[in-house]
Amino acid sequence: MKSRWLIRAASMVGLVVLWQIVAWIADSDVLPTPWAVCLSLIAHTLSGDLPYHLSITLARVAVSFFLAMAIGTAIGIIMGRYRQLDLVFDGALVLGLNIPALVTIILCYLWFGLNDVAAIVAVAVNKIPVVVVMVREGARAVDPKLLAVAQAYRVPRMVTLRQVFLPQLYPYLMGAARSGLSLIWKIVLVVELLGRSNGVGFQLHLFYQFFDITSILAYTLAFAGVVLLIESLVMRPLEERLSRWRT
Amino acid sequence: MNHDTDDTATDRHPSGLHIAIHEKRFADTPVIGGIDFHAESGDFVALVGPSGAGKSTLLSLVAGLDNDYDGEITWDGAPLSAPGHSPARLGMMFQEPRLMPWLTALDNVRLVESGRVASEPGFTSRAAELLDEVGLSQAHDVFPNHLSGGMQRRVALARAFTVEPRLLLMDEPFVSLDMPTGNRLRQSLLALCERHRPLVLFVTHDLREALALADRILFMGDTPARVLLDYRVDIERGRHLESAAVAEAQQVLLARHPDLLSGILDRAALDDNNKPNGEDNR
Repeated sequence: MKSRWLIRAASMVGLVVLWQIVAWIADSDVLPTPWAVCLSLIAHTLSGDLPYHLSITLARVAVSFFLAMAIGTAIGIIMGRYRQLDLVFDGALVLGLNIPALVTIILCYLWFGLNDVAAIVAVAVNKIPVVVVMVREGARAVDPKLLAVAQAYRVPRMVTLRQVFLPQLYPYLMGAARSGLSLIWKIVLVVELLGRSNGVGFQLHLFYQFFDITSILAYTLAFAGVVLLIESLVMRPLEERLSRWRT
Repeated sequence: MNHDTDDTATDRHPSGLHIAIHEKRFADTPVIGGIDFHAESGDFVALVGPSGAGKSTLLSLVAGLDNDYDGEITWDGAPLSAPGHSPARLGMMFQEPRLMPWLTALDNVRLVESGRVASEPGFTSRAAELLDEVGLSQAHDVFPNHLSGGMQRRVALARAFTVEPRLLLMDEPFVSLDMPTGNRLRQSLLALCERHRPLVLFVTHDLREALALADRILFMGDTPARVLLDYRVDIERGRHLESAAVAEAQQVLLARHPDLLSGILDRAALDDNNKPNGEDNR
């Protein structure tokens, strides 16, 4: 356990060192050194604008993530369990998977106006088909023999769902959550850039216009930090808890 | 105990299990022809026959896992799987232990109580007690992956009895276990049956196992499946697989019906031996 953390930390330090060396050799305004970025990060944090915009972006990510997971899981289970409905919705699913994110974002802004509802709907709509595909796969693989046990013993439906059905979906749900989170991070920034006046995406757009590369990298770094934190504090412990019985 | 199996009138059997199946098909193939029998509460009935004789199918019909058949299965005069009708407390063991791998042994047993926990205020769980009783007092919090095959079956056995079953369905529950492990489980089963007195339907293809456990054996065979022979076991309790009495009963039975286990019954022998009340070995 300890050596695993050591390896992770060492690889991070290695990346920073590599960055420093390249910046050094390039010696240019377009690639600031890690130290300059670090200072910028501190300045933006102290001024309060980074925490403000970051928290707004995180809120949008959280809401659209849970929305997409809930709706996508429900549709995925239904499509995985009912052959007829699977056929009905399969075409729409393929379409949903392949519509470019930009198209849904623009359409949502045009239809719902430049507001947070449109932003969150746009992100969720982009994400839902991916969740559906993964959960449908899981729902198809659910063991009918274990469901027969619940049925024979007349286990109530909700208990069957929680203790017999969903545990078989956990690996698929974890996969959907992981890939979903990484997709949603990216789309939320685009949504903010196109139609919101706050959030990390909006700020990056601003810095882009001012050619402020150091600030862009500082925001990116803060963002990366949050992603790593969520991965190590939420995703990995959750996964370990859910797969405890496998060991 | 009364086993007049030729009687089809349900109202004459207010208590116990009555099975009257005219036909069960998978797609267009009939797998069960006419099956009609009655069993009283407390009976231990074995269903014996070659594989593919519809034994497991019959069990899943009784369990309510499959409602697509032509016929009627009633418990105390009421349809067993009728919606809204509280079914007989039903325990079931399958060919595999079928435990939820993500639940501990205790949680696996408690899972089947959840309906009663919700509907009966003041319900006290007997799950822990039953696990102790089948010899798993040390393994309450162990996940099934860490239990041996025999121990997993013990959990499944405890699970079947934790609902205090009035009807216990067993589908070759001890198949593919080594002899001593299987024998210990059979003893546990008989001890638990002694106390709870459920009606047991025990599917097996092993005649000796049937003779060692059951009061009554229904031999199934033919296509589509039907009951070939309704046989009453008249050996003292306390018998086991290696008992001389069991071996002798097996010999007598097979001498009289050489092809019984392959699902074919000599018609002449049947007419000779099958007395009107279906009890042929008096």
